[in-house]
Amino acid sequence: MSKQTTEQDKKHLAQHEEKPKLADWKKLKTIELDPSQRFVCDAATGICGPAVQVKEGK
Amino acid sequence: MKITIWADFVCPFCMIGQSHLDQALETFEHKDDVEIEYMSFLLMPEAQYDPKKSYAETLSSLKRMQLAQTNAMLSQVEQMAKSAGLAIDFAAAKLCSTLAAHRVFQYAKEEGKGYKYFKRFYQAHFADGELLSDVDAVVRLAEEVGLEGDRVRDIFLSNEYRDKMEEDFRLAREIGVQGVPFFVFNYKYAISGAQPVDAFRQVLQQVWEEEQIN
Repeated sequence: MSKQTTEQDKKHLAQHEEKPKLADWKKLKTIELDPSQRFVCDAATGICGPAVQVKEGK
Repeated sequence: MKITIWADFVCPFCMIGQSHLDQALETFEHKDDVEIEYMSFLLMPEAQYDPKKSYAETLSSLKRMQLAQTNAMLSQVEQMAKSAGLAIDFAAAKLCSTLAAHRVFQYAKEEGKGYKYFKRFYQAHFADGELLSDVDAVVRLAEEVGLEGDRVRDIFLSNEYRDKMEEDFRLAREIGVQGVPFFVFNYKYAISGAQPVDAFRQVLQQVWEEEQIN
């Protein structure tokens, strides 16, 4: 079991100040995985499904 | 390792993705060094619960989708949830705005109970038929995860924690989150969408190894 409990959240709070700045967040690298196995809910369309179909608005 | 997840309580693939990640973590050698933080995201801020409409009808009218398309989508979601060992009951679920529940989530996070709160609210929405825009329901659920009910009620009925919630939205926009779930590993590696368990295993290992080199 990973640290997904209250204890974990407390640890997060202690590390709160260590969060990166916006410029660092913008350097995110996207890990490309099989899009047919990727499921997402799109904020614009509300469609939830395989990423490929969601992107096409199907 | 830090995993940051943008999600909404009413996003089925967020709950399914969390379950897949949980399964991947079970066999991950360094699972005790993994920390998860949820971030607020509003998938349907304009949603309003209508007791006269089914979940599919509410979603269809909200997103201007054909009812048949919505039903097919929900059926697919139910199948995927079942495969992940999760219960989803769209006959009981109540689609609504989660805005106030997210403000309370920010308070829960501050109190060290954000992760537990998020998981409870997934189940409350998809399996228990709870109305997450109802103050009494949110207070009861928040108490279940150890929050103080009167304080939760005050937050729900005010505009408290809106700034913190909007910070999460702002950051999501800045880094290009267009849908959820959205996972970020160690503030560096992003994955959009729920992935199969094996994909999460692969990513956990890959990120861990890359971080050891860097």
